Amino acid sequence: MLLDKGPSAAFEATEPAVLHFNWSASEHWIPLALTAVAFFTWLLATRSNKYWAALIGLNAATLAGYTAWCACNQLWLPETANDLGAEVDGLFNLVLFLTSIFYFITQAVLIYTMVQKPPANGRAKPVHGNHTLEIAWMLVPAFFLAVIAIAQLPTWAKMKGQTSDSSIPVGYDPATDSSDLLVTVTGKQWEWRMRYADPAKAKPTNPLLWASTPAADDVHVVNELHAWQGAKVRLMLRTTDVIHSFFMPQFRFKQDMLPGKTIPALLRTDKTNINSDGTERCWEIACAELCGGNHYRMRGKVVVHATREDFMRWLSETKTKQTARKDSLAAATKPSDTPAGKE
Amino acid sequence: MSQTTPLSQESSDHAHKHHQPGFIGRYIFSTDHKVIGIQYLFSSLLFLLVGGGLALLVRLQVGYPDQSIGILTRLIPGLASQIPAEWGGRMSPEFYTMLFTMHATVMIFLVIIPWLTGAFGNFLIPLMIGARDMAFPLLNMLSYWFMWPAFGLLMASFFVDGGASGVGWTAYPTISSADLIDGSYNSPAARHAGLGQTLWLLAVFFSGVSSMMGSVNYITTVLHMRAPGMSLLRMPLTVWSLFITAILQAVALPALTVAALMQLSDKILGTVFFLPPGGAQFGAWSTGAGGGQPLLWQHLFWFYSHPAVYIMLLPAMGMVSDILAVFARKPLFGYRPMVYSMSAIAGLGFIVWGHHMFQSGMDPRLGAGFMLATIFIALPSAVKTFNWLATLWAANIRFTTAMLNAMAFVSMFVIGGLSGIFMAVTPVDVQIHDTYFIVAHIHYVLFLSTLFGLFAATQFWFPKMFGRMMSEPLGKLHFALTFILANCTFYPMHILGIGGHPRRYFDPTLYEFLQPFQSLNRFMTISAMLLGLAQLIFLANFIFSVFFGKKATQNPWESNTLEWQAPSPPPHGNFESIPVVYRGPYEYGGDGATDHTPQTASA
Ligand code: HEM
Ligand SMILES: [Cu+2]
Ligand SMILES: [Cu+2]
Repeated sequence: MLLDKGPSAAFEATEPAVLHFNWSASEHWIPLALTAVAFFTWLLATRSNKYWAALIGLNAATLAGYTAWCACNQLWLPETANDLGAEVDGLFNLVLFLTSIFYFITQAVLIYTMVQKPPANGRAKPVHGNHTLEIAWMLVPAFFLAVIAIAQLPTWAKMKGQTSDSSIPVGYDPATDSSDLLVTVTGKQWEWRMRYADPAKAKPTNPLLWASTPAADDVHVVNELHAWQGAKVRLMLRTTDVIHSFFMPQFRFKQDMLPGKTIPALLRTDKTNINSDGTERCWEIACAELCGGNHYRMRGKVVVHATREDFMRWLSETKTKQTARKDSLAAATKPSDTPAGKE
Repeated sequence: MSQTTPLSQESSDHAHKHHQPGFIGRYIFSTDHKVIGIQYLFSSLLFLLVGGGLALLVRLQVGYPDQSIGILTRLIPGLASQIPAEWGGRMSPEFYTMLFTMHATVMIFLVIIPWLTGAFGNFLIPLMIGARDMAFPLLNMLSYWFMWPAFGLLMASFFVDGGASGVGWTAYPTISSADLIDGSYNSPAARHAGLGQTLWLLAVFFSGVSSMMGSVNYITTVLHMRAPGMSLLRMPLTVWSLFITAILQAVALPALTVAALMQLSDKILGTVFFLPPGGAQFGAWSTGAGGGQPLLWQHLFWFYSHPAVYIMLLPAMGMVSDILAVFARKPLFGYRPMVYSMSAIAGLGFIVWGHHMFQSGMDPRLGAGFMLATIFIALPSAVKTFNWLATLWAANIRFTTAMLNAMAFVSMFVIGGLSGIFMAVTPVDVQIHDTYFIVAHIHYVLFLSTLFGLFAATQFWFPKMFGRMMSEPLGKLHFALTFILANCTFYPMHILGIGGHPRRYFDPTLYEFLQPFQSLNRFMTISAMLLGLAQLIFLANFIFSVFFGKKATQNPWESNTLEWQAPSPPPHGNFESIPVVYRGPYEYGGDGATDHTPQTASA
């Protein structure tokens, strides 16, 4: 059964969601079971405070175990579509590793203090501090934090810089733009409009200028971003109305679109999502900045063709269709502002 | 208000001028810091119910996107007209955006900040430094009453044309600022960003003025009205944290207040502070040329709102420190490092606001600078955690409800702090920015840390406020349930965020990559409902104890600080005679006659 997603739903859910509440689904009874666990811990804790240590300790351990379980069961970072993705995930894992150490130590100490033997005669030694300790536990985390701070810099430069190989972020210079493909992506309530230069013509000499002044023979597509495997794609991100954020989870790509600005970004497409049997893996585009009621509906998709030829074929076909449609439309509509629409 | 605060036992050496107040003067427009504190406490509990209810509706929608809310629209007159009929009894996407916007706004501006600084700041500062009242009692009363227009405006906005603001508590232009200035109140950017957003801005303005009056008062009181012998470095950490918070507020708030006025002026006067030169187009309608910058708002907003997140945490840290020391029966470990680290958090807090803007189109080089500052703000937080743990080490722990909540605070703050580091790693933030990961982070620091600190503090200082004890068994039951269910409600949000689930989505089931997470969404919704129910235990305990709780002695927890030298509850003017302070606040343990030495004990 396809869900009715309300007026003018652009997409249907691929799989019907569980709509109705039913107790046999584990997500419904587990919270109740855990409530019961908490309740019995409370009962038991009237006998011994050790049960409080058990409550807090088991919670800490369960969270860690649950996280590991999710990592092993694909409830985790999505598939990566480029090299940069591997770098980002590497950083994620580094931080996860370092923070886990800190997590386990602090939770273990906390639990230990809850079960420790009270001091003899019930009086704790009145220790007010320890200078050496203070210095030590400041320097050790400082060192690890410094590692984290430095380790991330090159990746950041590659992600937000405008050339692919500099280790500090470099601003955009249209003259030295060496990308293979130019796409202007314009967010508007509530869709993504992609614009490609006419495949028959040479690449626009000033991409920035081209981004803000469409040519009559540009190719327009809505909600679909196409490229080919191994391309360096220059995205020119714009918006006509409010802030949107162009988010492609598989590409570890997210960039806000700001009214009044053209934001250049470099996207590498190292992997294709066309399987060998010709089917397509779904790589979606989502909006990550609240842009009104239908914010959740700015769904698009990315298609990375296996070869440049495949891409060019798609682009030419789209162009042909667009021309045909334009011809069939009365001269009354202004063609350059009207995207051809999604096929 | 509390009928149990006796105002008759005024002491004769009571210096500051007052007339004999009637009922209204005593309990409604009171200038007594304790009454104002308790007024704040009751109000924030009320607002907590409102904010919590809104949150449950948000969860209902995300967990069960096709659920009808017919009950609600039938119960609340006027609400149904906000939801277009074609949604057939379900909430509409616009209504959903109003819910989360109002949830955040109510929780931040009307629950957490007033509960921490309004209730405890007011009640505790004079008592803990040995003063008779605040420096400016009248300003104090005004500060409380300025909060109500904020609440009234926010609630009323649900029923105006277009509905309440639905542009997020961050209110980014141009969706929030674009307005028709020809008398129509529906914004072209979003129907619900018209009059509703105007009222929202006014509410933020009122709440800002309220907090500002409070913070001026706290700073002056701490600096000028300390009892003899109460040097700055003998102040309990609660007072330090409230003092530092007040400074943060005084410096950062003007940015928000001014920004709110600028956005208001964009909306109703037609200025263009936040409108870019090219303007913005909405269908056939265009705003016309601007000349401003949408990014300017983000800078102004976060220049306040980053310090604000520490405003929402530091007082809880201070109170938890005190509670840990009292029930560990051991001095607080590293008093000075604690003071320095709070100051460091406050100082660094002013130069990290850009970490909310890594993906905003701000220059990435600037982003790298903000990243460095952000990474290192984790350091003072780590130092504080270690000092808390060292305080508990080899201690003689008393497992009271307040102590359990305080210990849970430590356990949970570690998670909230550590998730901050993930987002401070800029390349990782690209993936998790504006996803549920942020929502998890926020709630681990604000719910599982600050709110647990507030539960601890409420249970702890209740006897001083009302002269009665809150029930321990009920308190512990509430703790056990809240602790488990809050983790169930918020922890899986990390996982959603890692998977890329954007925040503020009305219906995630439209996306194929979010399908695997939908059962988690339902899990969190059920947990949240149970969590909401568990809070009723706290409320029942609170209200019951105000009237029927066990009578409290003057110092039920055997604490050293000055407020426990005053009767429970303290009379108007607080102390019989102004106490003289001889020592720091944390002299617990040791081999003396008792295991604690009050600050007033002379050598
Ligand atoms: C331990 C140090 C912390 C670090 C390194 C840190 C880092 C961050 C970063 C980088 C963001 C922005 C993420 C993004 O939008 O992509 C963020 C968001 C946030 N943080 Fe923290 N944080 C820390 C502690 C705290 C504390 C203590 C609080 C509150 C008491 C807090 C409250 C918030 C809130 C409310 C937001 C989200 C605001 C929004 O977008 O609505 N953080 N944090
Ligand atoms: Cu959006
Ligand atoms: Cu921040």
